[in-house]
Amino acid sequence: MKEFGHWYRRVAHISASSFVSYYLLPDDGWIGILKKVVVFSLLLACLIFDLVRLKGRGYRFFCLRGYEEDRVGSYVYFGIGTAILLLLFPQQIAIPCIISASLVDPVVGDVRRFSRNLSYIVAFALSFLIFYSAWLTSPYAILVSLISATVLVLSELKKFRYIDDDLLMQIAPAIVMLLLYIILGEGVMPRKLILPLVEVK
Amino acid sequence: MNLEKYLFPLFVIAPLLTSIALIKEYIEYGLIEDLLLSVTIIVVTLIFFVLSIRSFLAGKGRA
Repeated sequence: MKEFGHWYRRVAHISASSFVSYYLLPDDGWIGILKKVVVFSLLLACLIFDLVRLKGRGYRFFCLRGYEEDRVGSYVYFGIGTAILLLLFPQQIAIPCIISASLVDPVVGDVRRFSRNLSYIVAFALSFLIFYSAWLTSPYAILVSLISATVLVLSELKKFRYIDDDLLMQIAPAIVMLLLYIILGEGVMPRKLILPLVEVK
Repeated sequence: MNLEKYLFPLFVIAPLLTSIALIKEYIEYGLIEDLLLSVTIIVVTLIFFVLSIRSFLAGKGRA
């Protein structure tokens, strides 16, 4: 059953890619306000839950890693990263960052069991594919994708005591993409990837 | 009792539904980016889903 806990954790990580469905709802009107409130509330609930877990230590996830028992869970870091991206960044930057962080980390983790070097190649290839797919309509698609994928792999490579890679893998490429947008100008940005399913009148 | 085990189907369905929504965007607005992203999400999700089910069944078999 311990092995299933490992795969459960991986699938939970991948499911975070569904957070991009945030953009299927319109930004205008009451729905726009409500979806922002929901993101903020979910993050707050996640923080409170983890605080209770750390204080009480009564409840233990079956898939929780040993080192996470006495520190903030990785899911909180992931939640903070996703909330920052959804609320503060344009969707052209947020979408590839959220999808690549949710997909690349589990893939790298399992490929690393066979070969460390291969895991970085796979991480780079997969994140490049995601960034390139998202920025397909930008004249700088290849340049931005190469830089963003490199930053994402580097942020997975470097481990910090207090900042989890789940946060860094989302925020580091997003900041670099934002800097590229500022340096190269408005023409660098691709078209919007996700348009709202419904319209507010 | 670890109630979070029962969230497993949700963790599989959520990215697949998102991918379907992205494919719908592709069909409706011709956004090829959405098709590429959705295929990537579907492939990775299904690979890990199959691996987790295999490990679950192997665990049941041993028990």
